[in-house]
Amino acid sequence: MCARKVTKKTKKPSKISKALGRSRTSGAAKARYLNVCSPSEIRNSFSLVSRHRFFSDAIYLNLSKGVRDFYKPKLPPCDLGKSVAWCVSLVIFHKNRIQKALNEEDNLAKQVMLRNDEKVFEILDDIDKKCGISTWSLRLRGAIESTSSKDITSSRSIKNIMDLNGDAFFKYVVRYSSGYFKEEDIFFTSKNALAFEIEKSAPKSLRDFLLYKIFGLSLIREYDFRDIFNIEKDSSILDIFHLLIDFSSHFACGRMSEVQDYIDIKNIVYELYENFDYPPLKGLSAFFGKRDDWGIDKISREVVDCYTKGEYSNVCRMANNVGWSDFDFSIFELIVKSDLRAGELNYESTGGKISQDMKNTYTRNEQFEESLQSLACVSHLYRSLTWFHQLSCFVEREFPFVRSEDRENYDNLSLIYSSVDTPKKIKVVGEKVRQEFLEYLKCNVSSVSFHMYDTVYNKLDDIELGGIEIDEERKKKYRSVIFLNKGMYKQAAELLSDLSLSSDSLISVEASRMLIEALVLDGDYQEVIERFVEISLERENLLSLFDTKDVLDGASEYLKKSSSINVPIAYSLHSRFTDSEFDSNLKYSFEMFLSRNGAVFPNDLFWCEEKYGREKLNYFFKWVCTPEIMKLYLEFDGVRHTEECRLQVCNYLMERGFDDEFIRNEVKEINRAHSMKRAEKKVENSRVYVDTSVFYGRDSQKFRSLFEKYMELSKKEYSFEEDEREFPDWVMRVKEFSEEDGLEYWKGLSMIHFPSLAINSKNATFISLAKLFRSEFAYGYRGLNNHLSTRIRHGVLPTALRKPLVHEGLYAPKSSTSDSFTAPKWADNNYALTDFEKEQVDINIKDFSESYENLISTLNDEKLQIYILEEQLVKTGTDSQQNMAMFDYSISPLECYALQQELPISPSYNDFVKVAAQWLWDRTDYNLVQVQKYIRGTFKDQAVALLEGLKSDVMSSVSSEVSVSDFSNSIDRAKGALASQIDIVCSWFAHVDIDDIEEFDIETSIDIAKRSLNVEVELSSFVKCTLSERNLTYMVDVFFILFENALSKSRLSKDALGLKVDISQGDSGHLIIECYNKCSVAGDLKSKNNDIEFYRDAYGNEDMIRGVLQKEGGTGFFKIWKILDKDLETPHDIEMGFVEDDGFFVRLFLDESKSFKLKESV
Amino acid sequence: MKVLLVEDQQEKSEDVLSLLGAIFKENVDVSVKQSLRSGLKELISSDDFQIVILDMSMPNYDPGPEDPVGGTPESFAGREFLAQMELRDITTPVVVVTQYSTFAKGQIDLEDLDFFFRRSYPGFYKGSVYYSSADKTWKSQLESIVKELFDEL
Repeated sequence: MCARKVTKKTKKPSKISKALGRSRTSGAAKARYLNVCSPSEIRNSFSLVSRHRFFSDAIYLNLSKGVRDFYKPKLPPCDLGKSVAWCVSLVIFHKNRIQKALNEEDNLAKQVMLRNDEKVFEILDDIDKKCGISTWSLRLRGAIESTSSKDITSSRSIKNIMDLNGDAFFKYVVRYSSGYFKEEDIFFTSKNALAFEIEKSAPKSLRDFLLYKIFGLSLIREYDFRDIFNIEKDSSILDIFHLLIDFSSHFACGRMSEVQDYIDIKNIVYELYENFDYPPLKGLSAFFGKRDDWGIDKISREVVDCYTKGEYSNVCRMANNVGWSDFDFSIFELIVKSDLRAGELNYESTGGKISQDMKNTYTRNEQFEESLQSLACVSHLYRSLTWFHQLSCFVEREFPFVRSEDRENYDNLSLIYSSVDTPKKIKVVGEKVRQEFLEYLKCNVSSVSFHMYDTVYNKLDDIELGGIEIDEERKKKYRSVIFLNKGMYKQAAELLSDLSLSSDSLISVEASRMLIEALVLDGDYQEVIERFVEISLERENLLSLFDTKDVLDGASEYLKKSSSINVPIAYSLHSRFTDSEFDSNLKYSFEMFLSRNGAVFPNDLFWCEEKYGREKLNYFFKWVCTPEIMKLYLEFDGVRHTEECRLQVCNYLMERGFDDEFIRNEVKEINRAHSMKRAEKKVENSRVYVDTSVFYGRDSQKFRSLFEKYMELSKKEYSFEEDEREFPDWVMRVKEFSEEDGLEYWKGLSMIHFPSLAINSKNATFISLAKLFRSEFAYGYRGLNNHLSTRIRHGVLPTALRKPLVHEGLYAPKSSTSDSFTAPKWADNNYALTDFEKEQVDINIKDFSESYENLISTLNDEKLQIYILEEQLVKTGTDSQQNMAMFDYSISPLECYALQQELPISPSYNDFVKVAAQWLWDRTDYNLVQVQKYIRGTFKDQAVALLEGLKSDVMSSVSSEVSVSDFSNSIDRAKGALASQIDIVCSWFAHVDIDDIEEFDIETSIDIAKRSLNVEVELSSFVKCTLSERNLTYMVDVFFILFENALSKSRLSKDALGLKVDISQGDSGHLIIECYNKCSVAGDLKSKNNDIEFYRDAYGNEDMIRGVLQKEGGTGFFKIWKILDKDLETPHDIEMGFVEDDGFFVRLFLDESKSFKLKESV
Repeated sequence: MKVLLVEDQQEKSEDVLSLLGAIFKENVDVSVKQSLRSGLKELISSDDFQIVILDMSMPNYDPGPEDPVGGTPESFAGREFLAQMELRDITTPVVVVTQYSTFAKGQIDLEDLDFFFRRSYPGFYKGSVYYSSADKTWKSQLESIVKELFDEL
């Protein structure tokens, strides 16, 4: 045996040690480390770097420095794989701390449900001490604070915590993610308004992060997780842990972008599962095929068994005994469904409002939308807790018109997160462990439950199902599931068709949805479309159940060839309630329906109710025969012809009694536009235009609903609220500092933010309304961006600004074959130049052209853009690039408060529209001034400097005096022409208010009103009275009310009405408007006049009127008073009464006012 | 060669006409329409167009005395035009010539649209060209597509 030679090896330093060793600063060390290491090397070397002083801030995060450095960059950005590897290592490094927080989650959820607010804060304080403050815990604090009736005294209230950290970005995230969206009634609107702001204006690197943090994980959105990890890895250990769970969940159930493909998520989940005890991780691990600790507690098992057997009362009894806070959400769903059948749950002990809202949602009853919104709000507020995250999956699953695929994904995620392993979980358990799971169920769940699921989902045996003792209708439903899974769609559809009429509302609703799905799969598209349309029109509440895209995609060939009225209706239902994907098909289907039914215009189908069905034909007229849909129909000569047709359709609907406020407004609006023959040329000169008629029309419902909500809230007392106390002073101060023209006023208000100030419900609702209005104004179909984009940015502006230079031959366009500029023309014909000089001049002009293009590009592509994200985020400094946009419509709560002060007393919706439109035009005017200043100032100066630079360059390259002089002249001419061109361009950025220019005769308002109501009016005018467009609109309303009053109260037909209007001037110069009509009201003259005494007394009495102004019916005279007195600021008197010849008159005496101009007598 | 040019901007229209004249040595018959409706009407009523050159943004209606701007501008009029062709089974080859590198709301760029059109209308959509009066690249791109189409015909 020979002795082994022992040599002492010198261990080579690893590349990681080298990278760290070479670095002198923490930043350099981290950058090198992330640069040289692969994700697996990061995982393996973590223990090494965790001891390195340069990495302590990135590893201990806010554990060492507190909330002060939250989101302050500690680790440089890196690719997703490396970020994920770092974060996995980090949470495992801190696993004991994190596990302690996870262990508290059940208790925390229970205390939240029982509303033990103090206890919740106590637990959160404890968690924060162990894990550091996290947005996870701040979300819960915010939720409790925003919904608690008591004042929160904790030193760790959101306000106090935000005051500790001066970082605007942190404040923005915390403000909007912690209890901000607390108003149930406006939850979707407020949420969508902020999401829209972020989508439109947030820098790309922040966009997905903000959407994820503020609104929670969406399985529908494709996130760029690289950006999210890069920001979140500088937050807290709990936030990073939950991001990893969300990331894995998105991979399991969401739409993942391709960049994630290379990341081994399965093993990441396994590793987390082995290190943490947390139900969502167990579910995720089982989904990916690794799990060995199945479990279902006794009470949950009993609920499942009783529910399967149809023993709904037993389920309710158990729930009443235990209380809702002890059940996993998946079991809670069974309890709520049982209560729908048995109705025996105690309200308070079983989630009260939540269970009621879920029942309304399941059955799609009248409260469905309200309840879903309420559930969305509460699940959003408390989404830090798994139970509420599951509830949010329920909301998404039941969301109107959800895609089938998304519905399934949310259902799966909720099951994955479930802490109890019920038989239903079979569908989210990976192949590798499915058999083990089935074995577990066999031993731990009753034979009925197990047998039923095994038969339906594994064996697909409908005969065996017959032998299982469950409720007959549910058996029928499960049989249809077996048929569907076996591809026997017709058989499934037959069963489902029966079940859709079931008295069990839960089964009826579910069967209706499944029926349409079965028919689509069967391929009987005529039947699909017919059933879809009929169910949607007859049981309107069920429409939102359907995946309309799936239906329309599936039936596309049938839809193209069919002559059925169902086709345009089906497309219209989708367009109205979901998105614009099938708008082209809708337009085409309108045309095809007419031609295939022998009609040229819609009026050819008047009186054809018998053939097409009354309801369907009315729907077709109301929702399909609209100018937007008919605009491509080539039988119409143009826009006027299309609108005339719409008028006919509206009049037909009104005559048949199917009109509503929207139809009446639409008729008024079209007539108004036609009568006034708008001064389009003025619109043409100014390319900045917004058509605000959208706020009055058919699609204005969303604005109106929110306005009504605001008005309802306005009745309450808010003077004690913090914001109501704070805002008035600030508004006054800004007003004092604003210039006389007031353009700075709104801009000034928009820049002032109070991040930690609580906003009361009324103000929060108004903010949402203002934001919704602003979005339509800026980005709507007829909004500013459309005009800016198509009439200015779309090549028009660059061409105009190049023109003077092209004309002088001083401009070199880019070459068609390379990235360089082609030879300019100026030197071409200049024979005094040598070849060398020509070459030099060409180079100078090419350089100049490139610089000038950059100047134009900055103006066109960056300055002339719209910006809506609020100033608060701008201050983070992360937004310098986007902030170049000059059409700034970012708004603040303070500004919205000031806007409310502009509304008149008891404002109507129309008052709001007028005030809000004026506000946005004021904001626009400010923006336009800035744009003009920029073009006339910075842009022009830079352009002139470039031209001067070109002149000097050429002068130094050319020796010929003649050429120098020629060139100098060219430059000077170009400068002059550019100045003129700049004047033209600036004229595009002028807000031309047609109202200020055009004047209309008062007869026009009578004409519009009479045509809108389709009545004859005999007019006698003895004075020439003119008014502006805006005031004319008010007078249309006055005459509309007078004529409608005559129509509705006279008890006579239109033909017998004998309407007359006299316009004259009184002796003292006032205007007299008299409206007379015949009537057939029973009773003697005196008693009839006595009956209307109230109107005479109350007319002009604000206190008496205030309460009735918002109501419909019998309020016409008061609305006239309000229009004349408040809107037109015209003092006046009224006389009214019945007269001898069965007539009725109203006489208005209008004092002189700036609203009317009386000219010469006629 | 019979060409339908659907374009509302005069300068661009003249540039395209001049290029077509140069390519086909004046042996080209171009019908110019200024709106979505008139373009579509022309294409439907005549079946002998061999190529359509289509702008992306234009008004819905032709400008007229009552409405000098042709109604609300349509950012995606070209997309509607292509969708209507597909629905009506019209397969005349189409080339989109646009001044937009980005479209509505600054979110969709020409590349996205090109991808969408290629996927949705593979039968007749032949490509997009970015037009700029400052850049002659569009000329060579359009020439190349048109010549290729001409060879196919």
